[in-house]
Amino acid sequence: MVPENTEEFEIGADLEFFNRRVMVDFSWYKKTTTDLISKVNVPTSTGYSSFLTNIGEMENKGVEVGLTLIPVRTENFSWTSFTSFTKNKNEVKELIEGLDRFPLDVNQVAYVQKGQPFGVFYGTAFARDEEGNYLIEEGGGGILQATSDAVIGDPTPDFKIGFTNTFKYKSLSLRAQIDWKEGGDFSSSGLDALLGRGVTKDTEDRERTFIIPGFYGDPTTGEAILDGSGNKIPNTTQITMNNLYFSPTTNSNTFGINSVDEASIYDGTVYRLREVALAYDLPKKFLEKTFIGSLSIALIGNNLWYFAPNVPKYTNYDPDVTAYGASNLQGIETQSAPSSKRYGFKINVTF
Amino acid sequence: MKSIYKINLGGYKALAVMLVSLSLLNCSDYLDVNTDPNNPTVAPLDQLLTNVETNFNDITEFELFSAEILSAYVHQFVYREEQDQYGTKQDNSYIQNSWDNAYSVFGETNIIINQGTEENEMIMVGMAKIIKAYTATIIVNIWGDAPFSEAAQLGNGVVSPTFDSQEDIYLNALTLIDEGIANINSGEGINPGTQDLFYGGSIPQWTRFANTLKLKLYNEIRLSSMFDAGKLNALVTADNFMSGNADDFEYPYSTTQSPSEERNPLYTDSYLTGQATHYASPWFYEILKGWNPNIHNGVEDPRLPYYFFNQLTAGELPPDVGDPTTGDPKADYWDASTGFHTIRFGSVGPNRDFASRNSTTYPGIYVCGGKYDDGEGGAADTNAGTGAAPHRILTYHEFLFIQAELMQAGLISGDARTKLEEAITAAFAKVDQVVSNSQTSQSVPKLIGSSEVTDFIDGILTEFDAASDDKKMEIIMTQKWVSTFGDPFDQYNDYRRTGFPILANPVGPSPEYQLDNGDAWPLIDSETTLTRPFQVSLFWPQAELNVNKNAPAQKDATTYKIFWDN
Repeated sequence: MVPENTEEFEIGADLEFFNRRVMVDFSWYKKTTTDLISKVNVPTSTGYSSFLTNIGEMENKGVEVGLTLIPVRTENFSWTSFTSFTKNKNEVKELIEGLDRFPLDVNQVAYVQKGQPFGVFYGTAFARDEEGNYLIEEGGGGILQATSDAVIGDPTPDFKIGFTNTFKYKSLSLRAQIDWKEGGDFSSSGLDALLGRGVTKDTEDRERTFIIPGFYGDPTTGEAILDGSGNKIPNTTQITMNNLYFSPTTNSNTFGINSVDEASIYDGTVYRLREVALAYDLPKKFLEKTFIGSLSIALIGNNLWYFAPNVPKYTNYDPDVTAYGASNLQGIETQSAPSSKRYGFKINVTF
Repeated sequence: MKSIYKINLGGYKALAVMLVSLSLLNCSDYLDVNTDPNNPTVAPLDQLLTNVETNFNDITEFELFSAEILSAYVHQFVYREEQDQYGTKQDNSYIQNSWDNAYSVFGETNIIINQGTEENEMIMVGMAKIIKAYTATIIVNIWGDAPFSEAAQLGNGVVSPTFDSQEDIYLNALTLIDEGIANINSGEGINPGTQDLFYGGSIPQWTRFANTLKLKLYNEIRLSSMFDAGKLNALVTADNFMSGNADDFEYPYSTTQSPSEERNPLYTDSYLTGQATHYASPWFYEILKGWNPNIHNGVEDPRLPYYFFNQLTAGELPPDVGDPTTGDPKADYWDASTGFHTIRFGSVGPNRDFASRNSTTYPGIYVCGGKYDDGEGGAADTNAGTGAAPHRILTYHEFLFIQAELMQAGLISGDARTKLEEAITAAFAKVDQVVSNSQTSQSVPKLIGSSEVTDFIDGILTEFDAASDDKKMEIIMTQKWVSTFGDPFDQYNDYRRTGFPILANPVGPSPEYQLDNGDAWPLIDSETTLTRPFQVSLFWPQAELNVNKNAPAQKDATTYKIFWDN
C-alpha cells in the first residue's frame, strides 16, 4: 500500500458590487485522488471478504456559487439573502487491475465501478426490450428480471441549492433556510414495506385491477415473445393492487416487496425548510450594570417542512433518511427511523 | 514512565531523565506499537479446527444455507419463495452463504495445514485435509467448476482465483483424503480431543469415516470416466468402513441456548418463528403413506410421526382461514384423516398463500428435534420439541445404502436385497437413537422391534423381489431418499446421478396427488404448475462473478451438468 494522494486545481472569483450590496463568490474545482485507499470486497473464494488497498483513481469536478444580496439595508432594518449553488460530478477513473466493480457492502446495491460515480447503484433490474418497454411474465403479469444485473441508480444529486434569508430589525432577527436538492437516487426497503404491506393511503384503491404496460417476454432468454406474424404481444394480464406492490410470482416482479433491486430505487428530489430561527439580542444598555457581557435568546425550528415530489405521496417519506450515515454508502435506507422536526430554545450568555 | 512525572526537577534534569528512560525503552520492543498483543495473528490450531467443523457443517445446513433450496429440489419440503418450481436465482443469499462458508473452510484449513505441517501437528493437519477435500467435492457437486488451486490465497496476492475444472478438483480431493488418512494415523502431534466436534478426536472413527467418504465419492463417479474399479475394489477389500451409528459423521446440536444458540437450525427457523417456513412435501407424504401408485404402494412407513408433526388432529378444521360455516378448509393440501396440512410444489392455487401458522404440519423430532406426532395435535411453538437433533451428513445407514446401490449396479459383490434390508433396519435404529438423545419429555415409542417396522420392511422387500433391475435400483434410491430425510445435499446428488426417486411433476399425468377427503373441496391438479426445467446445478453466486475477473460467464443452471451426471 502507498499513501493516498489528492491533487486539486481550483479557480475562484470574489466579486463585490454596489457597496457590497451584491457579492458573488464563484469557484470551480477539479480534484483527483490517486491511490485511493478503500476496503475492497474480494471474491469470497479468496477465503476473505475484503482487504484494504489502493483501489484506483477518483475525480471530483464541480462548481460552487455563492450569491449574497442585500436588497434593504437601513439603520434599523436589513434584509440579507444568500443563495448557494453546488454541483459535484464524481467519477471513478481507474480501478486496479482485475477489478471491474465491487460492492461497498455485499448486502447492498452501492458499488464502485469504473466510469461511474463512487457508490453507484448496481443490481438486479427489470427486463426491458430494446425500445425500453417492460417485458412481462405471461400468466404472472409482473415484470421479468433482466438476465444480467445493471446500473440502476446514482445517489449523487444533480445539484443542490440553498436559500437563506435573514431579516434584522434592531435587535430582532429572523432567519429562514430553504434547501432544494435535485435528483440523487435512493434505495429504500422501507418504502417497499409500506407499499407492499398496504399500510398507507397510496394503495387504498383495492377494488380495481392494473395492467403494467409492456410486452410479454421469455424469462430465460430475456427477449420479447413474438406472435405468429412476428409482432410483440402487449401485456393484458390484470393484477391487483396487492400484487402491484408485492410480486405475485417468482418471475413476476412488481414495485414493492420481493422484487428486483431496481424496484426499490426512487428519485430523491426534495425541497426542505431546513431551519427557521428567531433571535433577540438584549441591548447592551440593560446589561451595563451587571456581570453579564451579552445575552441573546433564540427560538429555532429545524426540518419544519419538506416535499419530495417523486416519492409515493402518503408515505410522507423523507429521502434524506439513510441507514449508513456518513459512510461510503449513500442513499440507502433499510427501514430506518424517520426524520424528525426539532424545536429549540436557546439562550446565549457571555460573561 | 509514571515516576518521571513525580520527579519535579528543573528542566535539564527532567530532560536527562527522559532521555535515559527513552534509551532504556528503546532496548526493548516496548515502542513496537505495530504488534497488537490483544489481537493475535496466529490462532491455536485446535480452536481453528472447531471453527472449521462448524463452518463446514453450515455449507449444507438449513436456515441460511443450501438445504433451504435443495430440500425443495428433492421434494422433502415446499417453499413459497423462489426455490419453488426450481426457480433459485443467481443472487440467492442461501447459495451465497454456502459458497462463502465453503471458502472460509478452505481458508482456515489452509492455515491448519500450513501452520500444522511446520509445527508437526499432523493429526489436525490430517483432519483439516479430509474436511477440505469433502468441502471441495461439495462445491463441485453443487456448482461444478470452481476456484480450488488458487482459492483462499489472498495472502499470496490472488485477488481473482481462477476456476478449476470439476474433474481436477475431484481428483485433487481424492488425493487429499488419502494424505489426510495417512496424516491422522501418523501419531504425530496433539490430539484435538473434544475440540473435534465430530468424533472427539477418535482416530479409528476418523479413519472409518474417511474410507466411507471415499466409497461415497467412488459411487458418485461410478458412471463417469474418472471411475476406477481397481481403487474401488482395493477400498472394499480393506474393509475399514463405518461399523454402526456411533460412527455417523454428523454435527451435534443440543438444547443449549446460551451463551450461543446450539439448537438445530431447522428447529429454530421453524418452531421459533411467527410464520410457517418449511412446508412438508405432500409428494413425500404420499410415498410415506403408501399412496403413490408407482412406488411402495400400500406400504405405510412407520417413521411418519417421527418425520412430521401435525398441529391438527384428525378431522380438525384448519383454524387460520378454514371456514367453520361451510367446512371449507381453504387449504392447498389438507388430509382430513390425519390433520396433515401443507402446500403443493408449484402451486398457484388460491389457498397457497394464506396464513397457516396454526394449521400447517411441522418438521418432526427426527429431522430437527421438533415434536413427535402422537396424534393429539398441539401448537408448534417454543414448548414443542427440544431442537436437539444432529445434522446428519454421512451416516452408517447411508453407507449401507451406498453399498446396496453398488451391489445392484454390479460393481461390488454381495446381495443387494440383504444390504437393503440392513440399510433400512439401520435407518430405523438411527431414528430411535436420535429420539433417545433428543431429551424430549414426550414418551416416544421405539421403532426397532415393533411389528409396524417388521411389516414395513417385509412390504418393501416383497416389492423389491417382484421388481425389475431398474425398479430395484429405484427402490434402493427411494428408500435412501426417505431414510436420509434432512440431508438434501446427498439426495440432490443421487437424484441427478440416478434419476431416482421419481419426483412430483406438476405438469405430468393427472392425478398428481392421490389425496381425496371425499368432501366438496377436492384437490385440483391444474392448480399446480411448473414453468422451468430442473436445475442440474446451482448458479454460481452472482457476487463472486461480479468481483472475480477470472470467473466464467454465469451458467444456465438448467443445462450445466456435473461431470458425473449422465
